[in-house]
Amino acid sequence: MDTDNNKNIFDQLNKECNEYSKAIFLESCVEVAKNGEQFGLTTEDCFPEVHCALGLPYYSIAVFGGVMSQMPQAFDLIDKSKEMGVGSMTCSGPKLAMYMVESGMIPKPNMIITGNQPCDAISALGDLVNSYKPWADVPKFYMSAPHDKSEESYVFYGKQMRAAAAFLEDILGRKLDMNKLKQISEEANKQCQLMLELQVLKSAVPTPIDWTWGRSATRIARWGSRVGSPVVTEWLERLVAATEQRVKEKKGIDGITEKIRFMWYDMVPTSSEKLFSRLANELGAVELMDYYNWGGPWTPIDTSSEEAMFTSFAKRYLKDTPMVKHAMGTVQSFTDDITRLYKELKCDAVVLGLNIGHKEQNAMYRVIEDICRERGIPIQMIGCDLWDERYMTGDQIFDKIQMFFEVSGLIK
Amino acid sequence: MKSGIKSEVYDKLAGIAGNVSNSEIENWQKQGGKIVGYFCPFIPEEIIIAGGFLPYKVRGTGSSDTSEADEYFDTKNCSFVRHCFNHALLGKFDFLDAMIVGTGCDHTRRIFDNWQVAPLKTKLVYLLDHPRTMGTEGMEETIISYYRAQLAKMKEYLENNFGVEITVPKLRNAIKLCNETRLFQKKLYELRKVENPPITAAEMASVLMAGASIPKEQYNEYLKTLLKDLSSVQGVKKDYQARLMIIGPAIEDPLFYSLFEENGGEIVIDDTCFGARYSMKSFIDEEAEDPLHAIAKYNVSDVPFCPKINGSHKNRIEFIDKMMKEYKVDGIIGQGYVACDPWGSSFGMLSAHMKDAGIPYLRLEREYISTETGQLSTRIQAFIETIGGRK
Repeated sequence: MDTDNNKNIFDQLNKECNEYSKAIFLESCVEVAKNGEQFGLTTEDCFPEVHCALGLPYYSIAVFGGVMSQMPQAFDLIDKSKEMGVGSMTCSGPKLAMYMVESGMIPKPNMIITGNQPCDAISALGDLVNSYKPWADVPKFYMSAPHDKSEESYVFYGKQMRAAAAFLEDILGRKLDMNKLKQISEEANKQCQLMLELQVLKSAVPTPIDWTWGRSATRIARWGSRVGSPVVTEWLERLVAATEQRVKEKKGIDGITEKIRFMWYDMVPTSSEKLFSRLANELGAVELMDYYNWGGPWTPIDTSSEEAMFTSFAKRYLKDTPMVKHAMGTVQSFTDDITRLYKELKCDAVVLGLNIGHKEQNAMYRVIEDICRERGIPIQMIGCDLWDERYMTGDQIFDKIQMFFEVSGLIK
Repeated sequence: MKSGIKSEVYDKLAGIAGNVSNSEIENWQKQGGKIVGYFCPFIPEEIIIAGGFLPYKVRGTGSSDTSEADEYFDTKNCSFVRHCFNHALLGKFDFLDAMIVGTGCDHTRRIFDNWQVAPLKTKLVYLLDHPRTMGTEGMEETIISYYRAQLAKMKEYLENNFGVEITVPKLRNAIKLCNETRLFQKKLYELRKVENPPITAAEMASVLMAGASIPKEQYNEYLKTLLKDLSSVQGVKKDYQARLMIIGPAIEDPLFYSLFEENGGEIVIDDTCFGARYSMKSFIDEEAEDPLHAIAKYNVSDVPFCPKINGSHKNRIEFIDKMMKEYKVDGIIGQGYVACDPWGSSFGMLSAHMKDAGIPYLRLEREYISTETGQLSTRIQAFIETIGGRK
């Protein structure tokens, strides 16, 4: 495969991904509502396979808030959410989502599923959605994600997922086709395996592709209406093959001389495009892992029975989804993954965003720091607002990271 | 703070509330008794009592800074958690033999993680997973059964670590004891329905706080005596301008209450963690065949008005409306700690409700220990004057 051809493949993959990703954005939701189609809203999508099997357009309000943070009006909307009475230190992503609900920016859905996962701010968003008067007559289902990590907890959450699916069936007036769900789950298993393969390929030195590809893969393979679709499998296969080719040719990210490998261990900030590009271009520092680049390993869905399927949906969600796993888990689950990925991806350093809104992370920063130091992992806590650059700009984050790399001896 | 109540029992309870430790705790330990600490009302003290332990609600009374705890928690974390953990690091809770932390909120939950690594004398620490929803219709039993299973694990943890047996009769007795506490506390609250209550909000808070720091049998005896003492007392006629209801997390700083009294406000009822939310609700079924199930049901279905429980807003509004009528409330105070997401969002929703209903409402975002009293006092004064002007 020649260089031009390889570049063409990535361009084509990017184009297709942008097209598929539209299904998770507010514009798609507005369009679906305008067309009079039934659709569901959730605060956090825990079982994409189910709504895909039901053929139900289904949107995460949290994703709407995250995307809105990149819009020019974001600062204004964050301020307006404060005027609404939302807690001053609530995470700005959910805060934006709260404002979007209250201001009527989101069309009235036909069904709502909310829950406590992964954090208090999303739980609070759910409470606000459930109390929003114009949606008072919309059928609602509440889920309680357990913190406990045991087989009985997964069974418990799997039961709730099955009941939530039945709730959707009742409203839609159609049954969940178990054969279709099985088919989608098996396809989703393949997709998760391909995402893991991509993660393994990224561990090559130099890393073959930039951080945006993992995010693209997550967007279409774990979110939205194409989860479990053969189109996505085929897209991932092409991405893995093209990446593998670059590894074979020992090619790094185009135009970058890789000098430092690091993880941004959180969701990426709104300034990430510019920030990570500056870090790569100016310092040769490549970002290898964040919560959108998560390639697993994901628990395979056991399709041997209906109960097994739902229990493994629960495991995949609670045990393997990074934000859910870490925000709801113990500090050990957090630091063990840092250690594993640091080694697997041959990283030089770890950067923790320590988002103002991630209270559970702020409440264990010292322990994380101590454990990482004991294990010889250079780690830097930033203390930014992932969704509001006024708290700390991308350039300020850059300066902090640069200084950290300097004092760690990574910049000679 | 000086009290107008002439009652030896009240003085004793106020003394207990004013300090982290007390003589009852010391006596309990001298007799070989063990003490189990906890944070949140969702952690059932009934199970702790049934194990023969003294349940102790951890609080930051007397704390003035959080410098030790800030080595573990960021300043973006709630000050209630930081003050309590600071006390722990200073050895003030060294009398605890075990600590039970709930999965209530993102801040308190991390006490479990930090407790495990901090140099604390109390080594036994347990994380109890509490459901975060009352459940959609038809799902209640699934949620209750899950919590029952979690409670059974907690029971086993106590049994295994202390070599005790928590039997069904012991659980029933403990339920009965705690129901009795709630009954007496409810009677105390009822004394505040009158125009000039014989007990103020600050005094009431002290009485309730003391109840989570001493053996329940003794506490119930104190409450009986206090009720008797107060029943013969006429409340001092006060020239207050507004009867208020206060809503939010636990208030453990009597100085905060005094800000209302000094500015012409009479707090007559509340919806706080260890206040009316604990005392005014239904009782646990004492005769239940499966007491653990009854305790789980109570904590999932009957007392879930805390905003960390998804879908609880409607119940909270109903409770507030009911209390407002019963206690002839003129205005509502929503007070919560900076950085608290569940209450932060809830206060926004309550604000909309109060506005629609035409109920005067003041929201105060503050720290656990009142430091900015001047600013708070000004806002409270302005609010009370506004209500006074409307009456």
